[in-house]
Amino acid sequence: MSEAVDTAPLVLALVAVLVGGVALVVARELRSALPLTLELLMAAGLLRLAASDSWEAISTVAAVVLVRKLVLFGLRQTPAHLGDAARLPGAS
Amino acid sequence: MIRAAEFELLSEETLHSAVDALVVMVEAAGALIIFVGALVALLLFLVSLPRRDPEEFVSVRLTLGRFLALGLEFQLASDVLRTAVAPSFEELGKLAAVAAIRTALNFFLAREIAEEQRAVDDRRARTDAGAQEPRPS
Repeated sequence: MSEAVDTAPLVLALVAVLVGGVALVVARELRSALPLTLELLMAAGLLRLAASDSWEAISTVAAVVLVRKLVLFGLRQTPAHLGDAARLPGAS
Repeated sequence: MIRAAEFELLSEETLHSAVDALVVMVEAAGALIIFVGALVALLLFLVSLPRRDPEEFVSVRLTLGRFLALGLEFQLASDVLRTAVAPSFEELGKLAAVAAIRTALNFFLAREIAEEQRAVDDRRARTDAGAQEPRPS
């Protein structure tokens, strides 16, 4: 039972990366694909934190949360398509 | 060890082990919700693939975010319970770090969910309005 608890976060992280890859192929742009991957990676980190109380798990989750925030903020600042500079997200 | 004949409603050890059991159950509930959320998100993602619409991914992410927020609430509850029985300073330190991360994440998730929901509603309103008048291409 405890092996299932330990491997579930790893499996989820792998699934997150696979989903990201497929989403990128479908959507052709990072802006639609990356947030979903990051969300699933964060879910994996949270599962790992629930399973083990080590400082490793804590710092992993903190790192994932921070990176996710930064990436989402960066993605929001760039226009969806390079030709759409007039339609910056801040204006919509 | 000789114990005086006191009336003890609940011994400290019983309370400790009861709270420990509760902590495990509540934390497991939180973890289960997060795991189920990830599975649901995966299924929704696979279902949305044939449609090849990148905006579906936003609603999948919204659903996952909601599950995560709920799971986090359960885990925060288990953190609060843990403060009742945390034995050492290192445990308390870990607890403080974990609770801080979960609280901050909950806060950010709630804001993101509200924003994304508003964006989804706006987009739906715009496509409904656009369906009625010709859009300039």
